[in-house]
Amino acid sequence: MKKSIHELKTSRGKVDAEDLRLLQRVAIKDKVAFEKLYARLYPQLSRYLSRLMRRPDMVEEVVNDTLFVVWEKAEQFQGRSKVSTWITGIAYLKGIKALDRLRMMPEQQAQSLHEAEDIEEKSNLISKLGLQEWISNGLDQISIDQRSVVELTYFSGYSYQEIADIMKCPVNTVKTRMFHARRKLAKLLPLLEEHTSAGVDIDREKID
Amino acid sequence: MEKKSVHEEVFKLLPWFTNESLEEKERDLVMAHLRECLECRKERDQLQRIEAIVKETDEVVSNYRFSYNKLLPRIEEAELARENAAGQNEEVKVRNWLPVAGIAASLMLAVGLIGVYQVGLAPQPIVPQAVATDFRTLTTQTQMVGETTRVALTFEQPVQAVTMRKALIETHSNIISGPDESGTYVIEVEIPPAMSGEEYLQSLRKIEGVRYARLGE
Repeated sequence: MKKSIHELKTSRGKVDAEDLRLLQRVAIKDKVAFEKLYARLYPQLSRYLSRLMRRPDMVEEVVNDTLFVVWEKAEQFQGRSKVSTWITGIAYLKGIKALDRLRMMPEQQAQSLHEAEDIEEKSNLISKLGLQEWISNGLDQISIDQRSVVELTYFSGYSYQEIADIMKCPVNTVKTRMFHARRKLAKLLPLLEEHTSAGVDIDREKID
Repeated sequence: MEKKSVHEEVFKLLPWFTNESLEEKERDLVMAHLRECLECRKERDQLQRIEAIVKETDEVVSNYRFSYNKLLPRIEEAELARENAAGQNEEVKVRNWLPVAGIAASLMLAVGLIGVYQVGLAPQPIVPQAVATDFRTLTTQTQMVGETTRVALTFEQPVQAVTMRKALIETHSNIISGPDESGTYVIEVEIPPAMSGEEYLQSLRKIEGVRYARLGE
C-alpha cells in the first residue's frame, strides 16, 4: 500500500533523516523548511547541473525548476530512495529537458556547432590547458548520459544502484555508460599526466 | 562465476570501488580479484587519478540566497493560483447544484400550490409547526467548534437561486443533501474557533433568505 510521506521514517543516516524531516514539512507548505532544504541541496545540484549541462547560464534556472517541483510534489515522495537521490533524479530530467529545448532553437544549433569546433581545436591544445580546462574538455567529449554517470560517481559519490534510480535506467546501463566514458577519458589522461608533470617540474625549478 | 566473467564484472565495478559505495560482498569480490589481476590494478590506479583530478577541479558555487529569492515569487504565484482554484471549485460546486435546487424548489412549490388549490385549504407554513417553534431559540445544542459539522438550513420559500448561492458562499459550505419536504438543506460547515455553536447558528439565521438553522442532519 502507498505510504504517505508523513508515515515515512529513515534509517539511512543523519543527513537523509534531516532531509526527510524537512521534506515532510515542505509537503505541508512550510516555507522555512523549504528554504533550509534549498540551502542544503543548492551546492550539490548546482555542481551536478553545471557539469551535466555545460551551460553555466542555465544552471540557476534548472536548479529552480527542480526545487519548484520539490515544493509542488513533496507529498508524493514515497521513500524508495534517499531524499537527495529523488531530488537529483528530478534535476537530471529537468537538465535533459532544458538541453532538448535548447537544441530545438535554430540559433542555438548554430552556436552548438561553433562550440563543437572550439572543442576540436581545444583537444589539440590540451597540453596547454589547466586542470579545469582538461576536465571541461574531457566532459565535453562524452555524451550527456555518460557525463551524468561520471559526475554522480566521482563528485557525488553515489552507488551505481542510486545512479540507476536517478537516471531511471537499469544498473547495467549505468555500468556500460561508465565503461564508455572511462575509455574516452582515459585517452586524455596520458596528455594530462605529461602536462601536470611538466607543470610540477616548472614549479620545482621556480622554487630552486 | 568463470574467471573471465569475474574479470569483466570487476572491471565494470571499479569506479564504485574507488568511490567506496560498493556493498560488502562486491567489495570483497573486487579485492580478491585485484590481488591476482594486473590489468584491473592498473585500471583502478587510473580511475583513482581521474577521481582525484575531478575532485580537485571542484566548481565554485555561489551563495544559495540569490537564486532562492528568484524562486520565491514563482512559489507565491503558484500558491495564489492554488487558492483561487480552490475557491473556484467551491463556486463551481454551488453553480452545478443550483439549477437542480431551483427545479426541485419550483416543483415543490408547484405541487404545494396544486394541493392547496385542490383541497381548498388556507396555505400552511412550509416549515412544520414543531420545527417552527424552535425558530431562533437560544436552546443549547451540541457544539462542534472548529470542526466540520452538518447544519440543517431552511430557506424562505420559494428560495431564490441567488439567495441560496449567497448563503453558501458566505458560510463557505457544501450542500450534503436536500431539500426535504420542509425545504431544508443539510450543509457542511466549519464553525469558526472564535464562535460557539449557538453563536454560529444565530449568525446563519441572520443571513438574508434563511428562515431557520439547527445543528445536525
